[in-house]
Amino acid sequence: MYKFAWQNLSRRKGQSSLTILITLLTVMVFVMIFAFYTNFQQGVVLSQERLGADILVLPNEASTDAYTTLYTAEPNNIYMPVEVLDSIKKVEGVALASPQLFIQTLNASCCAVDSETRIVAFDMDTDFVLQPWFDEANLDSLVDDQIIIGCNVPAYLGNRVGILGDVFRIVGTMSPTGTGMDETYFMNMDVAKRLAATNENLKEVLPNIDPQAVYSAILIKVQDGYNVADVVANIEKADMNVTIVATDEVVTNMKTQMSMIGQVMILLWMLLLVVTALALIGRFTALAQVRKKETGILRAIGGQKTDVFKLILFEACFLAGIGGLLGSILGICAVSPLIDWLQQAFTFSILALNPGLIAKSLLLGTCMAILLGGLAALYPACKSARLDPQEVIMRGEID
Amino acid sequence: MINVTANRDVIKFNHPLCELKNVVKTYKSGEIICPVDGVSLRCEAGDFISIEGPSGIGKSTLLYLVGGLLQADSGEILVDATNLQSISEHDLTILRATKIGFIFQETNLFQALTVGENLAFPLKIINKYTKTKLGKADINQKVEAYLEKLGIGDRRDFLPHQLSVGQRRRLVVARALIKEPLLVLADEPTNDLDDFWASEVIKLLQPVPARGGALMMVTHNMLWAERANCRYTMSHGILAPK
Ligand SMILES: Nc1ncnc2c1ncn2[C@@H]1O[C@H](COP(=O)(O)OP(=O)(O)O)[C@@H](O)[C@H]1O
Ligand SMILES: [Mg+2]
Repeated sequence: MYKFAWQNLSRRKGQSSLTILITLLTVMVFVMIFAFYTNFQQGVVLSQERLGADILVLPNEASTDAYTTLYTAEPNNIYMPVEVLDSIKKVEGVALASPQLFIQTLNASCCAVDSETRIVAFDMDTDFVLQPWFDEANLDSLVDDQIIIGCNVPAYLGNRVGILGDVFRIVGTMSPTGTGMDETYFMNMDVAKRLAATNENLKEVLPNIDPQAVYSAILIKVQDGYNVADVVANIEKADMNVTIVATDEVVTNMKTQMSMIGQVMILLWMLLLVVTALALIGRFTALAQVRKKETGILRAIGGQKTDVFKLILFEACFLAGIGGLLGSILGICAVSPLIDWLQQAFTFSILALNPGLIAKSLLLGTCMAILLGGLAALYPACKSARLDPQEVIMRGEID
Repeated sequence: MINVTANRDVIKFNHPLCELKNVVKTYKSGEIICPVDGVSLRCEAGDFISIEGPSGIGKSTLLYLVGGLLQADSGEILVDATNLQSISEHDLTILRATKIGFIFQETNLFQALTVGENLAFPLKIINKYTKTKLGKADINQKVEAYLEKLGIGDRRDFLPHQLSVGQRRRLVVARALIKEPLLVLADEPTNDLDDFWASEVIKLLQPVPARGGALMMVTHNMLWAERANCRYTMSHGILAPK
């Protein structure tokens, strides 16, 4: 019977391809939305995990923006006095606090990195964000001319890179985080302070800043048993004129914004789904109608009602399944450029599609199409199975 | 359950192969018409029955009733001692598959199947219901043999719409005969055929009673009707012997 179904489909190519095309388009749109959205959500969660800090303390300046700090690599020259660190360390619930200093590369600096990129200088003694990665890479610390780069930073000249007139050796590349860290240079705090103090060009960009006396950000790990929100409140009570951000809050905000866009997309897609379902029901009904006489013959020769039902259902599911599979593949192919394009338009970083998500999308898209095909064919299949063979054979032309 | 084992090989039946007792059929969709109004008929193994009558009188309806494709309003229809009214739809379908060969008045074929595949189809269906299954080679051999006999051996891989009307007619005849059914119901099987192929078709039909089956044929052709051992004319809903 499956062979019969296959012959029916393969020898009615025009009809079959049309059905495939209809499902293909719907599934393609679905897979694009699904893959993009899931990928984004995973990326955001992963970013927070890899960031490793629960709270981010930033200077209370007009240009301070936690989102920019976390998710972009644009130069972010904001500063607060070093004393803040000591005060924060005293706050109840703070387990670890590590300062970072942001400086930047300059366009003007010749024969080297030619765009303005953030440089994050971190304190080797207190750092806990990069430390796990150091352990993994078997590095003890960064000495003078060593830097680490984010995974998306292009490495010029092999493993050397010129920054602000000095040549640095790249000793490691971070694994992807989906945050601004991926496009950042990391260097030792002492080296960065020396650079900031001596580089004339950088001094121009950062007037009135004494690099020895400021930090740009303080990353905090909360003690076990303490609630992040409580610790944020504690820091606020200390009244240090800083901006305090719980990193999961930033993540949550982004997720909320994103899920709203997602909801709109899902809604539009559901409309498309309804249209597709109706189109498929129409197609399968017409198909069953055209083949009424053949159904009668099948029953007369000895095919059971269930055979007729299964035949139509199988043909529908098979076509829809093919459409679903092709649609999923096309959807996956289309989503990567979409991600790239969006990444340029909005500043956030998104991870590349991982194989797990691809597999999931393919499976989900195909299964959904099969289900859709099956549901759309349910009524025509029932109707065909119930046909009275005598009626359709003798009077098939009528109605 | 239907006994689907090959009792067509049993020559001595102690019951008629097919029996109709006062069968009535009324169509109630639209205008009420009663084309079959109390038909009784006994058909033994070895019988060749011809049914004549003007068109629209109910000959096809009678064959559909015997073939288990139409439910009678009253009366009894027994095929190989099975009362068609008393068995389930499922079992009736098996009976159609295994014991009845229906040659429809119209040449209905599966459009997506080739000539060879159309012909093999009934055998594959029978395989679903019997324990001793025909192998692929056996099926192929039978298909070839019938195509040869009907002069369409070279059309095996054609699709039905690539055949002439006459070729299609012959294919429909072959499809009913290939499973060697107990009872062959032929509804004007020589339609669309020239004299030569009409007589070839009759030649194929004649062995059915000879091997212990029975043939019931509706025809307008006196020549073919004369070959029957029982001739009936249908009028006013009943069969009258000729
Ligand atoms: N399913 C049906 N519903 C209503 N009337 C029918 C149906 N099938 C056949 N008829 C009518 O029954 C009558 C007998 O038809 P049929 O058995 O085909 O006659 P014949 O084969 O002798 O030409 C015709 O008048 C036909 O229109
Ligand atoms: Mg007729």
